Amino acid sequence: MQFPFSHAVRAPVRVVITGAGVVTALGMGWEANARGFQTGTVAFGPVTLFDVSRQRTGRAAEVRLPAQLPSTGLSARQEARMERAGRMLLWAASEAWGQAGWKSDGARIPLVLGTTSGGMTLGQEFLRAAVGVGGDRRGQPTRVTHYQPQRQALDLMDAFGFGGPVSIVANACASGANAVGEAFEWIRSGRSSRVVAGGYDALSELVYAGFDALQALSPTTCRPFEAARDGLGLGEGAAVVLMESLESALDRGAPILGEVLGYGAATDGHHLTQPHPQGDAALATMRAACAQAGIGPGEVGYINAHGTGTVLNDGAEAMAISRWAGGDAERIRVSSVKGSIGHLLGGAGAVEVVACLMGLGGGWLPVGVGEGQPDPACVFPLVRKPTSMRVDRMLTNSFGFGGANASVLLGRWA
Amino acid sequence: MNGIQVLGCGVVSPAGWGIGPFRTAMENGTGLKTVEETGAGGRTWRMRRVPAREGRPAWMLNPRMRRSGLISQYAMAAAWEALGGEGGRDGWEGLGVICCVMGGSVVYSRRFYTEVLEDPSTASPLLFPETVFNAPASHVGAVLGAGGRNDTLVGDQSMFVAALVQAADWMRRGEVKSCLVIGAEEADWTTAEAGRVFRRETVSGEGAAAIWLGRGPGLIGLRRVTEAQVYRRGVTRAEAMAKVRAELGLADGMPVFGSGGGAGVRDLETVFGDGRGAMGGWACVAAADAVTSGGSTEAGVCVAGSNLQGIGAVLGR
Repeated sequence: MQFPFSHAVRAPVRVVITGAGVVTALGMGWEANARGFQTGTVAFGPVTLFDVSRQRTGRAAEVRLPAQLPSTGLSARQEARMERAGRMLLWAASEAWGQAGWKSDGARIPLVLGTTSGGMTLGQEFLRAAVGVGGDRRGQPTRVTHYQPQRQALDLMDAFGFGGPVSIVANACASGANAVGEAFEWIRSGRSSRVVAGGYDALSELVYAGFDALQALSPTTCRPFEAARDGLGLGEGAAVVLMESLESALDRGAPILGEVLGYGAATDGHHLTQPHPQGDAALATMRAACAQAGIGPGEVGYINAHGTGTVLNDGAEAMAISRWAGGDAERIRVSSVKGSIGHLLGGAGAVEVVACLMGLGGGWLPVGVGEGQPDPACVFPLVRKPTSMRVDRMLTNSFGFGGANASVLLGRWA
Repeated sequence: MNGIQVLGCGVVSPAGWGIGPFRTAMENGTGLKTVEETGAGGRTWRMRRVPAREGRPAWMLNPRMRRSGLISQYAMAAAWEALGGEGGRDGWEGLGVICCVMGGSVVYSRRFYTEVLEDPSTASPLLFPETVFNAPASHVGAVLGAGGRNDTLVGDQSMFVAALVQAADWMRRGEVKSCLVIGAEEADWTTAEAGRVFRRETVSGEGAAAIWLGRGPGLIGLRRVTEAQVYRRGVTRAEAMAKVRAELGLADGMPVFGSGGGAGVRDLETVFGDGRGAMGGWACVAAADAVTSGGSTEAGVCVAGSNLQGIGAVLGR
């Protein structure tokens, strides 16, 4: 029985990450991405996945996805029906599962995923076939069932042999961070000792055209926090983290990649697509995440900003960081990896949690792209070149359409 | 903190706007009238549509609702009713919102993508933001001035029942004081065509349901929610639902509402059509109504989702 809860809320349980997998345009897996984040590699190129000749812009950070899939418990038929987003998710989960050493024994392990569009490429195919401008109608049933994110969740459980329950968060671009945060809360409150969490999204024509129509895409280069920034760049990818109680990880003798210390979520009702200019909700999430850990801005060394590169987002976020950090703002390093890998939408929050884990463990800060004059609102130092620095706590922000705001606080595991 | 109370309910359904017409349709027990609509390729679909609203409610005056789609208006109307028609008052800080959808704003996605296929350079920037799954939840939060937790969950018909547990957990953790759980869906030919993949005779319905949960005093309590039985490979829907029913332990004579729940379950789809994201919510509201306005001390909910999981719940005095 899920409810009534079988236990009262006890003293908060410490939550650690023992497995992490990541897929972005920087490459497949931890090593390629760590190298890219550490050096600030830019992974953008011309869009090849669909026709952009009638759009304002034509660049994105596409994943070079292998034709084959990792070896899992999926049948050949299941594999053949997977679309692009699900494949990226599977690769990320496979790396995480191998790293954590969890058993595929059918145990009831909750799965919390974040996405904005699930298997949208199949949704597009469905509509094209339905209106008779491409494809045939014979594949429509598979397109319907595999377009929905439920399918990617079920595939993950079949692949690695665990049994749910499932929660699929669709809070726009904060979804991945919300998924990790909610998973953290499940363990912290004692509701579960282990949770699989992650975020994913693949590039699709519909979403690309949407951001292009809003004139939110940069016609030049995505340069978060530059004064002359002119928009975001879209990317695609996935990240999966396997989270468990510290007690569980220590009992297993599992290597620990980092600790999740806090999570905050809030809603900005200012506008459906524009943040409050003072960053009120962003301020609330940063405060909440740190309050949960019982720390203040003085104890945070680095912020992985949402930093999309749009005029409005970066300005509001810079304002929020400044308000939150006060006098500490001049010391806290800030960068956004979206200049390297693009905005991964539902995947962004989870991938950026993994980027922070990499930096915490490796003693370096993720590098942000851009050499031009920073926005004057940035009272904090931007990380714009490779920087070795041991930091004990990193905060990562994710904000999305609809005013979905989330912050996750991560700690180095000594 | 297990004492979770139902503080209010709201419904929009093919029977009309509000719990009154919903209750009448339930009492009549016969399928509401269907309309035939023509989709792409000249194919026709039978649907159960929400009738046009009479008058203009206060919440429609909020600028946020000006360009909102029907799904957002259904969600807002149900939420407003669940809050006792007092959505306009101040003081909703601490109110969480969870909105459950299956297709979500797919009508906007279809409209926008159709424009993209014609010419992406002229596709409307007004449509795209409403395609996002969390647009309805965002509108509800903005209209109510609720700036706290606000999640949109995607799943099948079962998601609403699962969301009751999440709402209870948010309250237990102290993240919210009370929580609106909403299920909403809008129908068009794309959803009708997609719905037939799961069952050929499916008639698409649309609307919303909302339950306002809090610590009380309330009308009735959330007594129990079963584990969600996920349709993993090798687990049939029937097997999953057998586990749900066994765990639920339904007493003889207890009214049970749901969708595809098996023998003894009052199937709401036969009356309202397949409301997808709203389905589990309709079942919960029907159960709550059976307790508050009927003679039952407890009522059950048993929902077999199309493509994710089965789940059950009991509400009671």
